[in-house]
Amino acid sequence: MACGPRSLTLEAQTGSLHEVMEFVRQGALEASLPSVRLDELDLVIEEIYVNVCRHAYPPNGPRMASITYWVPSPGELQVEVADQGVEFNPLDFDSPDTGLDLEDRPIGGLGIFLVKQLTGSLSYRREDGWNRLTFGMSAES
Amino acid sequence: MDAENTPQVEKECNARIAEGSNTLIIDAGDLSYVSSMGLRCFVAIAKTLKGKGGELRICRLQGLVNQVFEITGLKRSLRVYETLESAASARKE
Repeated sequence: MACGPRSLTLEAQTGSLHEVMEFVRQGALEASLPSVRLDELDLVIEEIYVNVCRHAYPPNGPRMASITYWVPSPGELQVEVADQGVEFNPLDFDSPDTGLDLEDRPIGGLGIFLVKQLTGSLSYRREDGWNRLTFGMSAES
Repeated sequence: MDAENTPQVEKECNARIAEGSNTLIIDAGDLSYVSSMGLRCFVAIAKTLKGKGGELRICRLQGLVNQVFEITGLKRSLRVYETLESAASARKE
């Protein structure tokens, strides 16, 4: 069944990662995504949410994140992660060279690359002081 | 291995390295999840061990973990084995 948007707004802290994963998994169930997609969804939401928690806001002060999901049609899940932190478009960065040997590999830099690889659609917009990163996952891909 | 529990794994590996081990084998047979935080840990430990003349060997990748290693090319960059036996008996490169 299709369903309208549901949102979770919370303080962006890595300690609430599992709460966010649980919330988005509810959307996956409503979209009837197969179990293999659930693991991928956990991974995608972790990469995006932890990025917001670690980099969007200065150490002190408010740090809100809002996660919204909706099911436009059966087998399709859309999720938006929004924050009011510094403007940041993760899609601006080049993908890492995955063919490098260990010596030449940077230690990190794989998070957004994984998000790009595991989502069916991915878009960013800056709107009224919000970063809004939206991705789609489907039962098929 | 997610953003919350990866630091424990890294701490455990670093403790073994501090005790003098320069080759570690990670049996990932029961590992069902790894995010970029976990991958970062594997790469960092592998680099540390290589710097000491040793190496990190990882075996029995399953499901999502195997998929993520493929996507990121880590199956080629790291020393990955099908079984614990093959990881244990491998020659150092």
